[in-house]
Amino acid sequence: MIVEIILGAIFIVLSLVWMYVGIFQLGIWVPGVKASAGLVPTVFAALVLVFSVFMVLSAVKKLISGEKKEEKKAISLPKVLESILPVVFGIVGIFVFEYFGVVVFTFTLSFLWLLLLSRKKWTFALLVAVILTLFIYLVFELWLKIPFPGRIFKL
Amino acid sequence: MFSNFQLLFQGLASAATPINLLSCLLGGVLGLFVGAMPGIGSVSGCSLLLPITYRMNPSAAIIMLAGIYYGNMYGGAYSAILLNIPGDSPAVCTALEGYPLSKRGKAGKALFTANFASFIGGTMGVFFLTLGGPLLAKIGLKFGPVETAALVLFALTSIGWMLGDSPTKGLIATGLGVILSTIGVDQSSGSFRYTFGSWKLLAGINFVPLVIGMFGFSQVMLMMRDEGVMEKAAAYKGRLRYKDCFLSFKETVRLIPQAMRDAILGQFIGFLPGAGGTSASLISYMMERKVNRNKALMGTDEGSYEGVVSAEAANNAAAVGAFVPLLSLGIPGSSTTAVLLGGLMAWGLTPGPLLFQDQPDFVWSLIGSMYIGNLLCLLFGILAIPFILNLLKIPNKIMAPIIAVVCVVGAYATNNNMFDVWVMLVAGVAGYVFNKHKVPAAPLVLAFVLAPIFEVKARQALEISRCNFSVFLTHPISCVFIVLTVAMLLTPVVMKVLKKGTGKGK
Repeated sequence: MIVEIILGAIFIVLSLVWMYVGIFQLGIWVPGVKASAGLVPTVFAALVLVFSVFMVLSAVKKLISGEKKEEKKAISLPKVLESILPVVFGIVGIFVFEYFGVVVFTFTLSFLWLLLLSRKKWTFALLVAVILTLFIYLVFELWLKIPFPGRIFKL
Repeated sequence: MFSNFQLLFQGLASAATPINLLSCLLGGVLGLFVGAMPGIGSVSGCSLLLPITYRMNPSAAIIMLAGIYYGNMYGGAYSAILLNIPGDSPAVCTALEGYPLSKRGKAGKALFTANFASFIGGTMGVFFLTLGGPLLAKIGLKFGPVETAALVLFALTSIGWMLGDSPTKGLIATGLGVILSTIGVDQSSGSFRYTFGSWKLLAGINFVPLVIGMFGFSQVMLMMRDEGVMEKAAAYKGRLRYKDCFLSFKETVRLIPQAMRDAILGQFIGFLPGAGGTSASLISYMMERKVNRNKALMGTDEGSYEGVVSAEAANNAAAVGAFVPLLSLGIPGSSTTAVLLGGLMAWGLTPGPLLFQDQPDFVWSLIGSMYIGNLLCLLFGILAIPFILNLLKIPNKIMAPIIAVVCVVGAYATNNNMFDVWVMLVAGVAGYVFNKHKVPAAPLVLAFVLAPIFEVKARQALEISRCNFSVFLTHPISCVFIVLTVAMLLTPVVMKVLKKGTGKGK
């Protein structure tokens, strides 16, 4: 419920920003002439605003009435970490991708992921990482000729 | 009518060129494998495989994408029947009826039934596309900016309602899709908006990284929390031999008329924006449980071939049905066709009424390839049954890093820039949070594609009418769509009020 309230609040802020820019900077319409660039974004931002307020209110109502108390108990730290760690690996991986190129990125990300997150044996992780790296290199680098980044080291 | 078939034969000849045939086969095979992997689904599958089609010629690329699309539809049944895990949401009813058959040692026959029903559904769908597509495009040519804007507005509201448990969250997702699409260049005036001083936002948010993140990377995060698939796959000890993978002649003859009936129903549901394969397979399954001669077997622990046929034929017909509004009106009927629309636009092809007129070679070779592709998927689907069983045993925790790598590489390959990779990651996290809190991501993606069409047409209509909003009510076609839109928005509110009233009365 709390996450739903936070989510709703983010939507409300987003829609208010869109409406503000739409109304005061872009303009809604020139009367009798044409619609301006702010019309459609403002209308749909207003829609998001109304329904987000509704979503937050229902979540608050449920929270007050004590519904979904069991949900709180179900959330455990390792479970949360299981979904956060892929993002952390993703962020580090993107930096590796940008500075070291696609080959180093594919190999290290898949090898370390299998070893540390998926808890597989290092021999197995190595085998999968080598096969995947080879596949990505052959398809994207050699066949499709995608100009991948790699400022420091590039194969 | 005759000219349609003449053009179709030309299309078939064009689709049968080695490069197009190879693209079709490769797309179908890839789609089949990806669709069979539980939890990936057709949207994620298509978006992850989209970058592979870059650098190909447009016809071959779209044929391959279409192959991936209907290959996915075929593939969804494998994990549903063998592991009781639908590869994609339309395969829920297939799991309901197919898994009990699998437990009784009839997995091969159930898979054959699914492939066979998919083939009938898909082929009938393409046949209807051959007849109905050009007709709808002709009607579409009569649509001016007013009618098109009203039609797209109707599509926008209906997708919000149809795709998700909560209409409120569905509409929020739709609105978010629209407002995200407004970042960058305003297509009507050419000026920049909502860039907040960042030059990286000048070109707006790219569709492909957004969809790869929303459906691909979010799946990675979900996969890392779920070991269920691995346990179930490891528990499956069965072996499948080819001789166990065929229905008897009598059974086949019994199921053909039913498959055709379900295909017709699925086809019509496929036309509706946002309805897609899930609604088609559910409605068809429910209908068969009421009218089928062997309805007593459906929904029991025994499982039934009729149940598998109803879900698969309708699902595949709906999948192809979604191509009719996509190609003839430029309106994607499902989130997967929205990905295809993104692909088409990347090659400079704008689907809509003029596509049939301006690019007949392209359209008809695509339609031709669908006939061939369906046949190839049927053949390969049956041949691959024993191999796919082994593929399904790959645990989620091994698949996750592979998909993560493909997400990063695919997002970068879209425009060769790092900003898209970050967009993919943020969209992935957003997709994961949405999934956990039941905010449907599909309306967001569909709205993201549809909004620019709506905005351009609505502003043209308002400019023509000198900013007179009543123009949408004075044009008959547009008026119908506006009434439908209002009805779509008000129905749940009225239903709620009526329910409350009845409750008080009681």
